[in-house]
Amino acid sequence: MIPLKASGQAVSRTPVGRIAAVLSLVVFLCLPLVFFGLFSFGAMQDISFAPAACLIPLVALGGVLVVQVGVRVFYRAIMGVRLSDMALHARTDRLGVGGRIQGELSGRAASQIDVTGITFELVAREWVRYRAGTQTRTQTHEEVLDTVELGGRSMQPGSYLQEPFELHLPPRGMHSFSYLNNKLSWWVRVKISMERWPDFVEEYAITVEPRLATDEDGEPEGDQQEGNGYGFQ
Amino acid sequence: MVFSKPAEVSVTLHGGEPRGDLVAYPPGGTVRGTVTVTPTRDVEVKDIQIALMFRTRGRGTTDSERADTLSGLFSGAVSRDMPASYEFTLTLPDAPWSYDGQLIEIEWNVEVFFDARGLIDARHHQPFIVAPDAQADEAEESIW
Repeated sequence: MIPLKASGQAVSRTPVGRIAAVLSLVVFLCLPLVFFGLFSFGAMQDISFAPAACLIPLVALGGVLVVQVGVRVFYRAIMGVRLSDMALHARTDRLGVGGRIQGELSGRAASQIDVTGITFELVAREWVRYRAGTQTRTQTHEEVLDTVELGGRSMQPGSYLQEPFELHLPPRGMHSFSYLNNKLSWWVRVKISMERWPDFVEEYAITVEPRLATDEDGEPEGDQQEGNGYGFQ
Repeated sequence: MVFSKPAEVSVTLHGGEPRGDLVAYPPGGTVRGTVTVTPTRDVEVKDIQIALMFRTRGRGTTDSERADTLSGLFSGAVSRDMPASYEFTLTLPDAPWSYDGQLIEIEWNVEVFFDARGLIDARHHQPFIVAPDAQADEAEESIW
């Protein structure tokens, strides 16, 4: 079994991440207003306005950065109070199309927690970059292609979590690819729901190689002709 | 510079597995075909190239790459309405496969570039499919 690499970005897909996004926007808009306010009320008399005004975009972006980093650190910290040493191990992180990924989620309860459910999801995510006028934009679209749901349980401080899982790649799926403006990536997303506490969400990268699955990573299953919008033609 | 097509180009693919209007080949397989070029005027041809190319389509900016190319197929004078045919055999890479997702499509083409002196280049593309479950070219198999 090998450890799968966590993306570290999954927090952006949780309610905590959405709060961070709103907070970032507020900071981005309010910092320049605060800056102008300080000038208007004469609090920055010794500084000439023009050079200082050039710093406004930097200050605003700096504020956003602080919020984003702060939220991630805060999220890790509060998760650490409940769950620690979280890791996902799998037989392999490289498999063929139509194969299955088998592994185990492990971790330790740092305090008394009531887990209401554990979900493993196999996610295919398309990412594109394009120009719109003078701006460069990105867009993503994801599809959950297999799900395993486990029931809740009560965990005592220090008790270990060890949950095996098995997810199946669609037999007519597509391999991972990464070009300059177009990417398709595959992830195993783990969600642990806890009572009166934000969900633990983490994504672990897997590579789907451009080959059909063999006995090594599970033979293709199901109807070979069935498409799902995330497959080869 | 004359701003009209210097030639009519058509591509016929051989082998592979018919799928709808297209032909499917397995990754790493061989694409065989015939290119027919019919000049629309008397021209001096600098070069005719045939290439296997993929390009992405959809929401994102296009990414494209040439996989295999045959160049220097012909150079010299050609006469109007005198068609000439060229056989080609090109090899596909293992990836990417043809793909039709929500934001991204990957489309494979045989691209023909007809470069004539003093004229706008003619370019023709013939789409095909790259799929791992496509049957390999029978002619290729019979060699072995």
